[in-house]
Formats: sequence, structure tokens, C-alpha cells
Amino acid sequence: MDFYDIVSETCAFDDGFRERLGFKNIFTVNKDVMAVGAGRGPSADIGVCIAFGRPQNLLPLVKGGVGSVAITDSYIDKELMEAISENGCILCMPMVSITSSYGQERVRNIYKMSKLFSHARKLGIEVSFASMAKTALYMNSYIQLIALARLVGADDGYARHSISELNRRVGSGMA
Amino acid sequence: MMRDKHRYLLVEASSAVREDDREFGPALYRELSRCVGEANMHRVNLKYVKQVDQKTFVLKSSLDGARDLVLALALVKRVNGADIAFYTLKSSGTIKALLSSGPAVD
Repeated sequence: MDFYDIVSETCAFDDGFRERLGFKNIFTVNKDVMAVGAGRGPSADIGVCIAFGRPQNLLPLVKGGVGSVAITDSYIDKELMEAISENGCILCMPMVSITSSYGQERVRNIYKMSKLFSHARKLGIEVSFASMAKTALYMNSYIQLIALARLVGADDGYARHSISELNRRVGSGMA
Repeated sequence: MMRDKHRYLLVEASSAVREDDREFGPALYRELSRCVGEANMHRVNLKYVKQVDQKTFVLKSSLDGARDLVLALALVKRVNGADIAFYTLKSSGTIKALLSSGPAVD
């Protein structure tokens, strides 16, 4: 099984490091997959992309046909979740919010992400787990990414499917 | 008597770890037990095995606690006041298989 990760555009790494972490490819946001944020909708030339933002900003992007979304504050908005489900959009969970926080803030982030994951799966939404690391310090090996996915409630089989198939679809713009 | 099953983990640090640094080991153990939880750390049964190169070393844990250890290694980002990350590269039941160039087993 081939595994894939998605990182932020500021994250620098070489091919040797990628291989040691166990990934066939690591996609970079705004290089391999275009990112759109609040106030900017997907344009015709961008095509399939990943949208970052708060639920109220993401709703028009999801309805506009964006391929995948990452909710920055992990807040569950029922209208947005239903739109994601109806449009077959992939929900991307950035693991950096767990690995980069500490103490009570980390506990809160794990709780919010596990609630978001279970709500999404109940609606039949596909959930991808990516590190979205801003620096190499917050990158993970595929074994660690599976462990983090299990932490928020995914079983082993779904975690592997997410990190291989779904991350490939999100990162290569096939979502 | 039941034989304890164990797992070896090949871990790479983001910066060089000196083998003769006497403070690093206990500090890392402290950070890991904070993530796993002191009450659950006995299940991990963590042991340092050997240093492979400046950045890479082998840890041994019980089979039951290996997953907790992998997770804790992903969460620790600071040891002794310095920023450092640990990447679990491979996991295996024997050191020979762990240090071979074969695919990672988890």
C-alpha cells in the first residue's frame, strides 16, 4: 500500500527524508494542490482545490464544487456538513493542530477533531488525515499518521485507506 | 509462564542526539510518560536499545504499548527546552528485520 501526505507550502523536505518517513509522495499546498481561503472562491483556472477556513466561509466554496475542505477550527456546522456530504467533498483533517499544540489546548483539539470525525463518518463523508505541517518539525511518518488517525477515532483499516487513497486524491486534485 | 511479546521501533530525531548525553534519556522519558500518561506507562515498558547513527536510535516496547509509544513520539516536540521531533521510521519484532532495508512493518 502506498501512503501520501500533504504539507503546507512553507514546509521544506528532501526525497530521502520522504522515503524514510514511508511516503510515496508528499504533496505541497499551493504547489501540487491549490488552496483557496475565506473570501476567495474557486475560479475556473484553479479547478479542483482544497479550501481552508471557518464553516461560514467554506459553505459557498463547497457549493461551488471545491474538491476537499479543511475546517480550521474543527467546528461542526450542520449546514456545511450536509453540503459536504451532498457534494461528495473530502473533509481533510490537519493533524498539525494536534501535534503543534500543548496541554489543555491539545486535549481540546483532540476532542473537537474526534467529534468532527465521528459526525462526518455518520453522514458518509470521506475523511482524509494529513499532517499539513508548516515545518519539518511537525511532519510525521506514515506509522505516526496512522496512530494520530486512531487517536481521533478512526479504525486501523480506515486510517490506512485515508492516508493512502484519500490523501492521493486530495493531493493530486482528483477529489 | 507467558513470554512477553515486544516490538522494536526505529526512531529518527530531527537533530543529533549524543549517546553520552546523560540528561537526554530521562528528559525524553519524562516527555513520553506525560503523553502516554504515567498510569499507562508501565504497559509501554520502554527500553532504550542502541544508537544507530547520530540521529537514529532503537527503542524497545511491549507489543501492547507500542501504539501508545508511536503516538507519544509523534506528540513530543520539545525535550530539555530544545525543539526536537521524533519520527518512527519502522517497527518490527526483531532488531535484524528492523535494521534491514526492507519495507516498514507496523
